Amino acid sequence: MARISGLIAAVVLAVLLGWTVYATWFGAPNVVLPTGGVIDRGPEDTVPSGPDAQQALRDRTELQRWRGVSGPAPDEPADTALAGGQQLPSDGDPDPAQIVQGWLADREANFEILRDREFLRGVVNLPDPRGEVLQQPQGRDWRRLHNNEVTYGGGWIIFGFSLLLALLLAIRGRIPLKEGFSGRKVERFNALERANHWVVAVSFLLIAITGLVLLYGQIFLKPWMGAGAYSGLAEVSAYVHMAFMVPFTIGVLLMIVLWLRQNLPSKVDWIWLKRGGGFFSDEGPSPPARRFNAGQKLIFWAVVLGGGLLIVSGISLMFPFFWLDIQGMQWAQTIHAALGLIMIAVIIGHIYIGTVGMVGAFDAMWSGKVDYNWMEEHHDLYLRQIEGERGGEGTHGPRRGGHEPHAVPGE
Amino acid sequence: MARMKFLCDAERCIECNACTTICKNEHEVPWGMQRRRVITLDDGEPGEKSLSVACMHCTDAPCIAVCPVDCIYQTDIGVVLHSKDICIGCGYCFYACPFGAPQYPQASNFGSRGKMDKCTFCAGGPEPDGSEAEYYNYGQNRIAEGKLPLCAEVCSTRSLLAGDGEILSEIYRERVVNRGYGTGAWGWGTAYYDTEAEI
Repeated sequence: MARISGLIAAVVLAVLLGWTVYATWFGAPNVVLPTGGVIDRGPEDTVPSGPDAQQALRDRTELQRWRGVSGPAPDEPADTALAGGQQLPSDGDPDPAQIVQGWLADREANFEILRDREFLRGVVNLPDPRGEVLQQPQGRDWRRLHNNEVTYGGGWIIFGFSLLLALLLAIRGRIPLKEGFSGRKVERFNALERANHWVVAVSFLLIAITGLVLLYGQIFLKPWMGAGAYSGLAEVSAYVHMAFMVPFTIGVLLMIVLWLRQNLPSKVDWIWLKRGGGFFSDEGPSPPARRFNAGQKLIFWAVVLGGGLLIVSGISLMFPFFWLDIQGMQWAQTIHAALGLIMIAVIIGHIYIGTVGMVGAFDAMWSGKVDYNWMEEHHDLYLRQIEGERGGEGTHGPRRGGHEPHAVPGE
Repeated sequence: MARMKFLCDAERCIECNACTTICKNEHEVPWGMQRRRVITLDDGEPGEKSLSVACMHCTDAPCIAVCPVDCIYQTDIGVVLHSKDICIGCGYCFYACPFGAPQYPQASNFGSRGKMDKCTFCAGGPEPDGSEAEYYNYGQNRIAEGKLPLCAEVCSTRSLLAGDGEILSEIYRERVVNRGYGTGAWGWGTAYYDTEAEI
């Protein structure tokens, strides 16, 4: 059953990944074309742009020539007919791409008066240091990173990683509890640890969903919501995204306090990693682990370091130009978006292994008590430790055909 | 096809800031925001130059490309305009803009900066031309009256030029020929021709 669902999920995700790959290379041309002001299929902006209006603006431009040529300015604008917001006949809706081609066509003619692209900073008589930058051509690089690498990369990472998980489920099925349930429970996480975990988890989910709305809503939601409704949703998303940063930050800090010591790397982790965490095979016993195995330690450090960097870059974006300049802001935004997408993929993996992927794992974070045999199988060294602390009280538990405790070199 | 552009002749700008001031006055731009500003390069050194800069109404405009809610658009005379009803104040347009044109009413209120405001080439916004709503949000609509942006029309040295790009380029070339020197059309390469896109 689980394997069939895994197969179905794998097929769906493969289609989505294929579509992302296709869109990466054959998506819409990445160039901005004039739309004449149509937003959300609404009325066209009535900026005069018909032939008469264009001639009027051209005539007016001529007045800026040397006065000896242009003559004195007329007392009245020659184009009083245009006043009063009167809409002018349209040009017969020329193709936007043709318009842009026309704009670019005079590049050669203007070549000698063009300057090289360069970053220019001067001084300005305004109490605003942002205004000092005259020109920052790297805005185009930020645009490309944001619109291509980050946007499509997110699809690659999230769909790609989910596809791997679905394939794993389809091929291997759920990781079973080899000894079966004993019916006896041991405490794995106490109430504080669980409460804190769920505070971080719920905050992260809300932050992730609202972040995805802001990044992908334009493609997936706006076409059927309409620009006005989507704008409202995006604004609410931005507020939720920022508001839940507070519990997220507090939760991650508390996680560091609660779990840092137990997540420092040790030799046991190396054995665990060399054996792939017992992830790919049911043969033989699971590799030994203390309270947190190497995989869980990696998740911990991903949350602490990745989450920490997301918090720092996110706060920088919340207080724009407080300590970063324009280049710094661009990098903060790019890092925030890219890392956020990577963290979403990492957490999808974490959710998978904690629920569907492994029998009996979810109890650890939900009720806090796991089955004795589950603990024996996946965290044998920790089980020894807590049993030792309780003075051997739990040693006569109903272990059925259990294997010998693992010998750990150097321990 | 007329294509609206700005051109600032750096040899003529005397940093009088009339363009900045008249723009704020004409459009009732709130405190702390300026659609146009004058920047002095190499201040106090030989070769000092002043330039007036605002939204250049780019070809293949980066702000339109990155706006997550598609609130910015370009008309067929090249003017880049936006809808404040749709804008969510995310600030992406400022990161993408080569000229620092977008302005926000608040520096930060937990990231809410209010609706973006920028130079409209004196062409208002999506509301009906000359309407009160348009004036309230975007200021005067001079283009609808057949006039050009006020900043250029008040420029006492005719340093700042606005209007059809073809004519501006001619005017500038004639000046360079007559006076024998010129530092080029600042920002034109970045604003009007800097696109790698294939159409």
